[in-house]
Amino acid sequence: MSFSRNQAPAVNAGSMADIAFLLLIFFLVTTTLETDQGLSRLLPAKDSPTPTPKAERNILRVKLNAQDALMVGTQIVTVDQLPSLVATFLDNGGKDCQYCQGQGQSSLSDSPKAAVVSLASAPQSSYARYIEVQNALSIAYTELRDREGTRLYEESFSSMKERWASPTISLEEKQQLTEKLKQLQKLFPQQIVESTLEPQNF
Amino acid sequence: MKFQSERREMQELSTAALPDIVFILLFFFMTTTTFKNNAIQVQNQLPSASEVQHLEGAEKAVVLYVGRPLKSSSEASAVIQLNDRVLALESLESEVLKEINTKPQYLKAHVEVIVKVDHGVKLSVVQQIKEKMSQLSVRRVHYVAQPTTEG
Repeated sequence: MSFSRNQAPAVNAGSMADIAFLLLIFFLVTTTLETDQGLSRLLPAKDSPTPTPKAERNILRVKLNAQDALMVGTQIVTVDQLPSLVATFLDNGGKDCQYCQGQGQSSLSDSPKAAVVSLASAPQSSYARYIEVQNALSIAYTELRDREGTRLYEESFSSMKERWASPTISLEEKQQLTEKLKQLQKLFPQQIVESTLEPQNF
Repeated sequence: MKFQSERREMQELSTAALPDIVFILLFFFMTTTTFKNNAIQVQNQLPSASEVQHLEGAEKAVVLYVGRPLKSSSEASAVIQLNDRVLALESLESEVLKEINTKPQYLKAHVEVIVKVDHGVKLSVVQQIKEKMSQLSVRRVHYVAQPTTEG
C-alpha cells in the first residue's frame, strides 16, 4: 500500500500526438511563402510585323532622358503629374468611345483602344526613375479601370483583383471575376511601346 | 535503511512525448525553410512602386539579379546573376536558353523572366536584357519592386 503511494502515476501520453498535429496544422496554415511583387510588362515579339502607322493624336510620347528628367509631348513634367496626363490622354474619347469622360480634344486620343503610350528612355537614365515612370503609367491605367469597374460592376478594378487573388475565393466566383477583369482590361488595354532614346534627341 | 533508499529512488521520466516534440520541430523547420541554393552576389536594393502585384507561376520563371558586384568599387559596372553564376551580358542569351531547357516541356513556351534590378543601375543594362529576352521569345518580364503603402 505504501509502495503504490510513492510511485507517481504514469502520464497518459496518448493525446500528445493530437497536440502535435494541432501545432503542425497551425504552422501549415500560418506560414505563407513569400512571393515577389512587381510590375509586369510585355516585351515585343521577336519577329513582330512592322506596326501600321498610327495617327499622331493616338500616341502619347513620354521621354526619360539621361538626367532622369521627364517629358510628355513637348512639356517637361514631374513623375507625379504623369498619371493624370496619361489618364486624360487615354480617356479623351475623340470618337468611338461611349464610356470615355474626356473633353474629346483633337490633340488627344480617339479611344483607349487606339491609344498607345510610347516610352522612350535613355540608356544612361537610372533604373529607379524608370520604375517610377512605369509605376506612374500603371497608376493611370488602374485609375481608369477602377472607374469603369465601379460604374459597370459596382466594384473597383483593384478590389476585384484583390478578391481574385485571395485564397478563400470560390471557383465559381473566381471565374466571374476573371470575366469582369478581362472586360475592364479590354476597355483600357495597356499599350505601352518602349524604345531607346537616342543621344541626339536629348 | 529501507526508508533512506526509498527516498533516493528517482522517478523515471516518461519519454513517450519526445518523438512528438521532435516531430513538431521538424515540421516547423520544414514549413519555414525556403530553399535557396544561390547567395546573391550582386548589390540588390530594389526600387519601390505602389502598383505592384503578386507574381504567380514561379516555376516558369527565370530569375535574373542585376547589380554591381558585391565586392567592388562604386564605379564597377553592373553584372547579371543567374542561379549561382555571375554572367557577362554577352553570354546571357545562351545561359538563359540553357536555363529554359531545364524546365519541363509544357512550360518551355511560357517562360517568363523576373528581373531583380538594383535601383542604382543604369537603364542600358536593363534595355539590353529586354532586347535579348525578346530575341529568345520570352515575352513577359516582371520588374520586382518593393511595395509602398501610399497610393
